[in-house]
This record gives sequence, structure tokens and C-alpha cells, in this order.
Amino acid sequence: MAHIPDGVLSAPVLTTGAVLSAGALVYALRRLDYDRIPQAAMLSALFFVASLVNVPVGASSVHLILNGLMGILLGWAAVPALLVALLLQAIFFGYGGLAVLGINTLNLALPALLCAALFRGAIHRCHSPRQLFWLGALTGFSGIALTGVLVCLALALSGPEYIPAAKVALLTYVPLMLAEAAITGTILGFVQRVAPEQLRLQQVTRD
Amino acid sequence: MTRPLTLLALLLLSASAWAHKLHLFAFAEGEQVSGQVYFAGGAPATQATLAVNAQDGTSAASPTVDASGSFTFSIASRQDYLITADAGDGHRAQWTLPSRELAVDLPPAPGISLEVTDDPATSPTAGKVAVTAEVERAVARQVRPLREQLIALEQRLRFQDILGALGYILGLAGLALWWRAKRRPAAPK
Repeated sequence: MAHIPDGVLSAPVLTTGAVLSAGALVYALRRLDYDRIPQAAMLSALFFVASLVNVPVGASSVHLILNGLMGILLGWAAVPALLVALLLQAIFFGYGGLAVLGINTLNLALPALLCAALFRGAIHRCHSPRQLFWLGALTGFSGIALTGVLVCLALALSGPEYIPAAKVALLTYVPLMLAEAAITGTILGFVQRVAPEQLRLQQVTRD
Repeated sequence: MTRPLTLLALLLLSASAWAHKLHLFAFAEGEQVSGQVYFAGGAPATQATLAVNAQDGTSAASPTVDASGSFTFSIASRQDYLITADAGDGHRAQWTLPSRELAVDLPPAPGISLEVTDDPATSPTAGKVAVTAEVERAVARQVRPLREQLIALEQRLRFQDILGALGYILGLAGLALWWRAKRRPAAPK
């Protein structure tokens, strides 16, 4: 559901999404730390592939999004990383679309930025692996939860007929939140073990 | 950083089904139109609602989708039809049924002029209409599985497309790094 197709959302929602995404992109590019580019590219590629693969859940199916992880590891660089991956998915496979690119990016990038703002400091200060796992889990969980809320909001603002469906869609996000929580926690734990400077670098570049 | 790579490889290997996207197709045989609406990966979109609009925008039919995602409806005149499927959760697909695919013995829609061709096969004399229509129906029946196969082929996520996209990401990262390298001598960090 992270890929809302063309022709569903109303024009005001599309415009708002496009303007906000463009603003975030400009800001992100201005303060882009060039040392993070390889990492941003790798996470962009990871998101590109992960969000094409669907796992059936009950009557519906979901795909990984990993925007919480991207927020923690990339900070503002998550915005161009997500935008590039979404653009390529729209061009190559017709997932999502060009008119909805702005709002789709916003739905994923805003939670990533919020996760970064909320949890990055705590993750940096954290030294026990167990605690780090739970912080990562919380990040993954919140990333999806916020995306789910934003997607539903975009649908609900576009037409009241989508509200019941949006509620059902939120339910299908629950197993995804748990999966993302586990995956984000595991990946962050692994990053701290093998490349702790990846978590530290954030703090240095941020101040 | 190897874990994400392993994960990526695992995801590629265990790709059981692909992401959500609604697909729709419909073909005509005589005055019967039948088609299917399904999510990428093949799961039928049983809860989708369908709308069929004639060329002037009026509703021509509102078929229901059965448990296998199939639907049928009949048409009364020869013109372009636009079929729209809405899965209700923000997924939507469209399919145009052009008038040239419809049977020649259907009356043209009032007020709509169809393009006239000189091809005797598509603009038959009155006596041949019945025969032509019969032949068209038979051919449509025979060609249909081929067209369905083509659509399925076209919609499959191709491995080379994925690799191509990853190449684009790599290229963009390279461009950004090149830009940095170009500017660095002027402003050392």
C-alpha cells in the first residue's frame, strides 16, 4: 500500500504531497553529507527490492518498507534515497506513478525523519545490544505505523468512500509492523557489532 | 553491512509473490465481453467494483466480479468502452475496449462515427456481415489465450529490470561522488 497509484488521490492531496516532498528534498540535498552516499545508495537499493516482494498475510499481502531503518542510518539522506527508489519503481514496473510520486515519498520519508528525530540520539547513546535491539524494534514499528496512518489519511482526505477500506488496510499493517520491528532491531544490532561508526557518524554530522 | 546484502539475496530468492498492483483485462467475443481483474502475482481481486463506460461517458454496464476475479457483460453497440476496476483500498486499473475489436454485426453507437477503413475485411458488404462476424468470433476465441499469455509475460517483473534499476541507483551514487571529488580541491574538508 505504500504505492498509491495514479488517479486515486485528489488534486489538493497530490499537490500538498509534491510540494512538501520537493521542499524536503531540497533541504536534504543542501545538507547532504557526501560520505553517506554509498550507504544511501545501498539502502535505496534495499528498499527498491524489498518493497517489490510481497508476503501474503491473511486475505491481503504486505511488503517490507524499512523506512525506520533508513531514517536511523541516513537521516535526511533518506529522502533522496526513497524518492529515487520510488521513481524507478514507477518507471520500470508501474508501481505507484509519477503524479503520486510526491505524496508516496512523503508517506515514507516523513516517518523516516520522525524516527530519526525521536530515536537516533537514544540509539547512539545505547551500548547494550539488548537495549539496542528494542530501540531498533521500536523504530521499525513506528516507521510502519506512521506510514500506515499517513496512507490512510491521504486516502481519507481524497474521498470518504476510501475510509472503510483504509481501516482494513491499517489492520494488515499490524503483522508488518512486527516484522519490521524484528528486522530493524536485528540489522541495527548487526551494524553496531561490525561497523559501530555507522551509528556514530550520525551524531558527528548532525552537530 | 553484509546483513542487508544477505537479506536482499534472501528476498530475491524467496520472491513468492510480487507487490500490490491491480491488473485488468477484457476481450470481446461477439456481444459478450469477458475479462479478469487480479492483483499482480495472480490473486483475484474478488472485492473489486467494476464500471463500464461508453464513449460518451454514460454507464454501459456494471458487472460483478466472481470468486476467480472474472466478469462478463454484454454490449449493445459498437464503440469504445472504458472499463475501470477499483479494489476499494486505493488500487485501481483501467482497460480500454476499442471499437475495432468488436464484432462487425453490432450496430454502431448513435452519434458516434467510426473510422472508415477501405479494408474489405473490416468494412464488409451487408451480405458478408454474418459470415465475417462468425469468423471474427472464432478467431477471437482462438487468439484469446495468446493475448492472455502476452499480458502475463508483459506484467512479470523482469530480473533485468530490477538489475537495471539497481544500476541506476549505483550510477546516481557515482555521479554524486564524482561531483564531490570535483569540488573537493577547491574546498577541502
